[in-house]
Amino acid sequence: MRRRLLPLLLAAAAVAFPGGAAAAWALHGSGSGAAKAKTLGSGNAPSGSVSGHKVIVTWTASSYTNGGTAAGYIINRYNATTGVVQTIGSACTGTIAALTCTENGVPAGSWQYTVTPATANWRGPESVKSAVVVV
Amino acid sequence: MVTIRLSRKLFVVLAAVAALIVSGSLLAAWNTTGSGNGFAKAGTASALTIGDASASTSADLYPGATGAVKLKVTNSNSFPVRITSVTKQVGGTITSDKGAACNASTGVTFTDQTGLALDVAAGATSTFTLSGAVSMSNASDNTCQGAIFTIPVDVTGASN
Repeated sequence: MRRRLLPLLLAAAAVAFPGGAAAAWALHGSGSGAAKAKTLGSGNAPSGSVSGHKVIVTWTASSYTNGGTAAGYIINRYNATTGVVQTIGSACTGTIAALTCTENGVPAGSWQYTVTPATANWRGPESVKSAVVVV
Repeated sequence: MVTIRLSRKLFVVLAAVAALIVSGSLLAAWNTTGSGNGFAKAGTASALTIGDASASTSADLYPGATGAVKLKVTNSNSFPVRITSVTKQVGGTITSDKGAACNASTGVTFTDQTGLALDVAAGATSTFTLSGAVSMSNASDNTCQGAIFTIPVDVTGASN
């Protein structure tokens, strides 16, 4: 009798409680976590160095909030008299990873440059204009 | 004589098991699921509540970077809980507080977190930092700068 019933009892317990006697409460919950993005800081006003019709533009890095620097920079040249943005020479077009670029074939005139931080689709505020560069 | 004594023992054992089953105190310990708010009741466990953790975020995401997710968990049960996994809700969408343009292309991806050991005391609320749990791609829209992202998740844990 004992040998028959004990295995049966153990088997029944195993079926009833497959997790074992030490099993814990299984708990779940649903909701939302949160994450936050940085902000790209403003560009720093560049300086221009003239050599004939070539202008070497240099600037310093721009930072994100909480650190890190922009991946690149967009350079603009403005007519210093009218304030109209110009088509910039090829060496300074697009997003420039370096902190300098050289614009070749700059027409005679008075110009100002600006720097806009850029990382992928993100843009920081454009810098104030540089001092007037006379070519 | 021997046969009668064994039967009594078995009767006591069987009666004890049956009593535990009927009371629910043993069966209930194996399976309880749910979401949202609940309330404590003898023989049951309340679901974990996930609160708004946006106030504790620290700006660390930008295109090409990984960042942390903040998770605020309330355990209203009378026993401590250990959270072992946090996964993105199936079909859930990550949104921002910056509106449609950012929401259309947040660039933010959540990586399911497993093998965790995040402990919440009985009746307590804890805020956790899941470092490196999110990443931002170059697809992130310009309007996403400074955004707080809401990431729908499911958490799984067990009494601890």
